[in-house]
Amino acid sequence: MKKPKRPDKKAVRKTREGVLTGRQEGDQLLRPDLEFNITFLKSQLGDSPDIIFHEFLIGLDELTAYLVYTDGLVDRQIVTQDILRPLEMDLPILEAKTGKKLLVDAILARLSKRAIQSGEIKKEKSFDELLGAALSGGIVLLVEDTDEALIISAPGWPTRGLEEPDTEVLVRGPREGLSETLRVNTSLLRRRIKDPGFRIESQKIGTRSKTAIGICYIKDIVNKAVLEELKTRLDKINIDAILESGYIEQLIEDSSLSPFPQIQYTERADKAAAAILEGRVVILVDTTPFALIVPATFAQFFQSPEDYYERWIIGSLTRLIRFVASYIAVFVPGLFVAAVSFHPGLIPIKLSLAIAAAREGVPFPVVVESLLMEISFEFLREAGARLPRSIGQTIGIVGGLIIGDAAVKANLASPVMVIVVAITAIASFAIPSYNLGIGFRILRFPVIFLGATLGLYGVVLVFILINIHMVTMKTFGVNYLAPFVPYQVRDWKDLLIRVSWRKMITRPVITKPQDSIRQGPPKEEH
Amino acid sequence: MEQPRDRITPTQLTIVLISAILGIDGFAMPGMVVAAAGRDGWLSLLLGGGWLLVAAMSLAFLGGMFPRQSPINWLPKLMGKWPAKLFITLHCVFYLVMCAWSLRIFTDMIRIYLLPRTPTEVIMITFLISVAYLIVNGIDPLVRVTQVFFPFTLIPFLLLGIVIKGRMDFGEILPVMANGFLPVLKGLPPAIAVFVGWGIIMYLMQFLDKPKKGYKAVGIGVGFLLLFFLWSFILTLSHFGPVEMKYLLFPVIDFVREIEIANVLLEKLDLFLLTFWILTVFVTVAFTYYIPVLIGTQALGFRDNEGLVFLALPLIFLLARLPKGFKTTELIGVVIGYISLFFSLAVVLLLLLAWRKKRKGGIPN
Repeated sequence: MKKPKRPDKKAVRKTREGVLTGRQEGDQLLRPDLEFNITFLKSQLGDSPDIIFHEFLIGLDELTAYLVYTDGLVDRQIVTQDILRPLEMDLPILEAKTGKKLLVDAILARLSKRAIQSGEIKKEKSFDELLGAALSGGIVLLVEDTDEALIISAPGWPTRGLEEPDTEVLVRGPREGLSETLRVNTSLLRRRIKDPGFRIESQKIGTRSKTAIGICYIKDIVNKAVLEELKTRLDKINIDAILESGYIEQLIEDSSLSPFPQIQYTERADKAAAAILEGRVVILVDTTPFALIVPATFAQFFQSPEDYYERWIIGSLTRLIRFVASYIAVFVPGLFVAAVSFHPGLIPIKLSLAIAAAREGVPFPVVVESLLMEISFEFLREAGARLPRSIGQTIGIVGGLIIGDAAVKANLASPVMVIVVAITAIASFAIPSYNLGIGFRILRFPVIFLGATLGLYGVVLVFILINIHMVTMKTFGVNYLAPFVPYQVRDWKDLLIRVSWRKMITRPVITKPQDSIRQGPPKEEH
Repeated sequence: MEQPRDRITPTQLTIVLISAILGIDGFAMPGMVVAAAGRDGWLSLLLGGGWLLVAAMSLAFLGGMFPRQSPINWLPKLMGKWPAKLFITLHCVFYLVMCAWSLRIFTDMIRIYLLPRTPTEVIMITFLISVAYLIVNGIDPLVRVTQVFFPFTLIPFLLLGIVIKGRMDFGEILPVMANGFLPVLKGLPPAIAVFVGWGIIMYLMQFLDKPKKGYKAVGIGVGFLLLFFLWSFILTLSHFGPVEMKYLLFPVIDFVREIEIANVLLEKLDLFLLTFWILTVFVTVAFTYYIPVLIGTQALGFRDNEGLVFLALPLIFLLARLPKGFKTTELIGVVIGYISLFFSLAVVLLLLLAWRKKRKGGIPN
């Protein structure tokens, strides 16, 4: 059998260039010839059943006209009530009454001013625009003998209601999360920030998907340099389709080799609004409920909106716990391996003896034991995350029994190791950002490995390397480790602890907002 | 020559100084000073440290007179072209040797306390590569990593500060100067040697964003170190007494070992201390590695220091492997201490020279 031919490198590059330049057939313009216009549109759109070419007659003159739209993406109500009825029925009556026949231009003007009550209307001459509109919830109206078409935006597709996001559950806080529709999301943000300076810039990304995104910021707070940098990076994107904001995140992030996320995502409208108010930029992407927040520093991934809603003592405590949890999640298994295999003196003697006694029957070196347990835990987590909920419970029981009890009884692992793995797992889930938690879980393996080969020194070496990596990293020009280093003491009020709202006078300085004052002096009573 | 792009703040300079100097000799210092000066060692420390405070501040003052200029630029204006070149070359070699020496001491310590069976070469290479990974990115990340590690550097200080248990007799430092002034003088070289590494100020001043404030930052840093060394000296002396201490290689570690507060969670606090100490040494090695590379890069006019970093790596590795045993390393330490002393003299002379020249009609910039 012949091996399938590998794609020629040159050919791949050529096609890439093709994608880069887009489908370049030249931007064709409409002609005052309806027949031609319709044929051209049909040739472009093909014969799909969901694309409707609706032919009808306007007024007493019986001008031929066409409506072109995608069924399922537009509001049928608007099509019948606002467009077809006035043009097919009302206009002839009007013309008969007045005895005056309207010209095409006048008809269109009348239509846009009188008949259609909702949506924006614009005139277009280029086929590209028409195609884009017809495919994204617009209605295109073409009339005989004109070289202009009317685009009536009338999006109406099935949407999900506002639900509480599953990924970011809060005890206290608003229950509505972002949804898949861009317009709904912008409204959620607008409801929270009624500032005239709040701007949403629209843009379309993806040569084929033409996904709409919204760049949201407050004009007089946002750091302009970050905004400009973001826009240039977005402009550079030249991909066929954006199906989720994760595409954009990975295409604009600074360092794609890092285990640490550099752009935060959120499903919560309140979190996105808070970020905007701090001077950050939020990117809303149509068709996904996940908004992106840039720039995102390391400390930000430890914050949960609840820190700010609950009283500051509670918020501070939970913050501190998360930072401790992050250290545990990364270093404890490695430290345990290092201590058991190199420095038993590090552990109190009684405990050390107990550990040794418990490991008596285990035939593997401690590193193999720990890797075995950690990896089976990863299996368990992954299986639990992907399975349907009803089967997921089974996994929980099986995993709990096998990884816990049975593994110990079968001498595959010692009870202490089970505890270590369990603590690490819980700690890694205590970090509010799922993606950072995963980053930590990845780092755990090099720590175990070096702890097993170089002991405590190896663990410290990993610590050093992680720190070097984080210190050299920047996200949109902001130091990733800020405000830890360089020391920015003014931001420490909202870092390891969160001080009382009365003391939170300034916005975070690390994002360099134009207006850094969040709270004025208390209002005097009159 | 191109001006350095990166900037460091006076606070960062203070932190860098403390972390870089604390590194190597801190643990062994009390033993060495006691061996030379007996009970009066604290006086030697005070004198030597005081002198270095003056020298370090003069150096910062000198650097502040030439804001944003590398010593390669300003040194020739003070002492002429060729002497300056010789001076800087020697300095470059000095830091390479010091880097290798610090690395050697570090690996020996690690071998003794943590990894008795691992070949030292492995430790050296892994450590050096990590340092190289940091310094190829220049001064900015280097300083920020120092800032990250700084709280951890302070932990040993706190450990020494808060936990006093067992035999403590502060009367051990008395009587003062029972044997005259000579022992105090004898203790000066090891007391000054412990501050080795302070000379990096000379090359860091060019990055300072407020050059006029440099001497203050340096004063705070060296002053803090002086207090720290005095404190650890008095603590260990009060605990062990002068006779026992002479025979201890690392009195500070032995002192911490006897602290039993942490018995609940950790058996041996000294291992814990060593763990944090690795971070301090990392900073010391990183700066002593970075300075020669910086000098080379600036003198040869390279755009980045990548090439020199990887050129210096095997050199430092080989140098670090040269000494045969502990005695040799110790001897090198003493020599390095003396060089540091001479350097401090030279610096103060240079400052006087600069002042004279300035009064005579200014230095052409």
